[in-house]
Amino acid sequence: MKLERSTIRDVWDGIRSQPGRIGLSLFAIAIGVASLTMLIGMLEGLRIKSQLMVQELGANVVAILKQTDDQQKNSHVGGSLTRDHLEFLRANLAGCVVSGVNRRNLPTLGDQQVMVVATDDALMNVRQWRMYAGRFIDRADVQNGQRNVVISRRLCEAWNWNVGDVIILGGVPFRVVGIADVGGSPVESELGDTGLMLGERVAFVPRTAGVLLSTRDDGGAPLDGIFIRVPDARQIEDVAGLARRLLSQPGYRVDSVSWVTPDSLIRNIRRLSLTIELTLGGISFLCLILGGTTMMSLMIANVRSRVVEIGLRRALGATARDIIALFVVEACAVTVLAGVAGMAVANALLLAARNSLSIPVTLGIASTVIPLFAASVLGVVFAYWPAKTAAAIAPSEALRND
Amino acid sequence: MNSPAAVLTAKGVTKEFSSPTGPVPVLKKADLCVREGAFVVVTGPSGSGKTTFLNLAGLLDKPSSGVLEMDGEPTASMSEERLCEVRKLKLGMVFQRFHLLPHRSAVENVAFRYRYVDEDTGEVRRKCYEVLKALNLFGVAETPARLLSSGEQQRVAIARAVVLRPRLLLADEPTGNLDRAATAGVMAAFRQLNKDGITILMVTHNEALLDYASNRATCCDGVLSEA
Repeated sequence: MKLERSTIRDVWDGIRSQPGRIGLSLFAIAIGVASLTMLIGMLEGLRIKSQLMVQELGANVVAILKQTDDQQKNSHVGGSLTRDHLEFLRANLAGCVVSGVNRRNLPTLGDQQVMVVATDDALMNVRQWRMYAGRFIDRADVQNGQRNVVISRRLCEAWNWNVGDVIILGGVPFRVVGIADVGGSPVESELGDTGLMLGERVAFVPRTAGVLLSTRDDGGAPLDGIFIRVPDARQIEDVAGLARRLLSQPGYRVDSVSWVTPDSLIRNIRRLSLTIELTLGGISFLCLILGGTTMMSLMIANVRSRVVEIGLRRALGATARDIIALFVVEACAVTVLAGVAGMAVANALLLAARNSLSIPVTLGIASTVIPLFAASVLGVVFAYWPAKTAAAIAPSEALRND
Repeated sequence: MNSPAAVLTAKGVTKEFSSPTGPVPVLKKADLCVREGAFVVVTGPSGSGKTTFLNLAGLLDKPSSGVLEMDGEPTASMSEERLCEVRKLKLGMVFQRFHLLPHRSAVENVAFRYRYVDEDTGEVRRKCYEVLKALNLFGVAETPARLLSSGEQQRVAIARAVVLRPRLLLADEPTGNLDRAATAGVMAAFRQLNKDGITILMVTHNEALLDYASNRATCCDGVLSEA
């Protein structure tokens, strides 16, 4: 206990002896640690996001999604997704379940928007969401154009809608026949896969109910996406390849679509992760090195200005190891302090900007432990050489230094 | 009647320092025996090798040749760890420039003697106040060292050196930076400590301080011998 108190006192005396240099080191290391914390938070967020997206899509589902208007500007050949494509795939992909969707945000209560998805009964077999209550849209709903709706559980909780209630979507009344656990992930519309992550407030209606813009039910009716469920996840790339070939046949050619498989999702996430790693990682590395070198110069100056004290300590029985420990602990105290400050700044920034960031962020144990560990290692690495130099000074020389 | 045991014995001790022009002999020959309870004062002009000898006696440096023994144990055969152990537990040192920690109070400076000794904090505090009281410093115990007078600072340094009851108290020009009144105060403190049983080896260029000595030695041109 006494030793800890003495150490704290030594560290405090050391720190206050050079406030300017200490402040500079603290600042540089804090920036480095803040960048590192943000980097880890973002990478962790992306990791969780990729898991959620794969979970949302399903391990053996291929999605063919209509590209956004910007993406379509670059396409010159082929047409858009239509019901003809859906039926063509259904006819040629033996053993697979295929379903199509149209999506649109429609106003409901007040100004609140709900994602309305017009689809058929096969979608449930493809995405395999769990029903919380009631049932999903069935074949009769689709055949008869019934104004029945299945809502997401979040929608049910948000507005207290239940099975049997009548709700208004885009000015049209619909009866709630079921409540589904759809995804549940708050993350959406990143990585350009807006068609994949439906969000939390979603309502499924029969494609024939006529609530969406396109009321066509012929082969030329446009679709926003087609989902294919493959019986065996190991066949997913083969099926995706076959579907690509099918949709490049004359008369069925489409090129303004994105192909999404679990692998492509993970690849996209990895590409984004790598970009973040390289940019934020580079910034944090440079800041930490800058902070470390500032720390080293601080420690060298510290040793020079405390040579007599080093001699005194040796005269009082301190070993070379004690002297090394003195300066290393002092440096670690500064770097850990900077680490805590950097983490606090990073946490505050990320929490403040969480909603406006296009990348998911997760602040967990890793984003606390790793930056603090890095800061401590930085303290040890960059203080060791000056500390060793201090320990090597002959006590008699040190005492003569005054 | 047996003579008191030797605390420090130097036989033919020399010390050379290297320089670009070759080794420079600073201490050519030192022969001295400091016995238990003695107050040995070594006098000599500046640059004669007194401080070099004191550094050797304080185990802060190693002799180039000769035999130096602490309580009969040759220092040449001591490991680095053992040297630190002896410095910590058997020796106390007082320096011309005091070497106090300026931001710490007098009592904290005295307690600093225990920085590398494992002892109960409460007991340390009690001993520190006790020794400060003995050296008439009780009233300034909580004053930061930088605010004390030179004489007080040197007496705090002495308190720090003796609070652990060393076998040998080494003092290097302890009155070199003090006026006459402060010198008298410091020397009175040394005399009292010696009466209390502490063995003292002091080096000084001030021959007026020889009156305090029980044993005298001189150092001239690198040769130190008992007078």
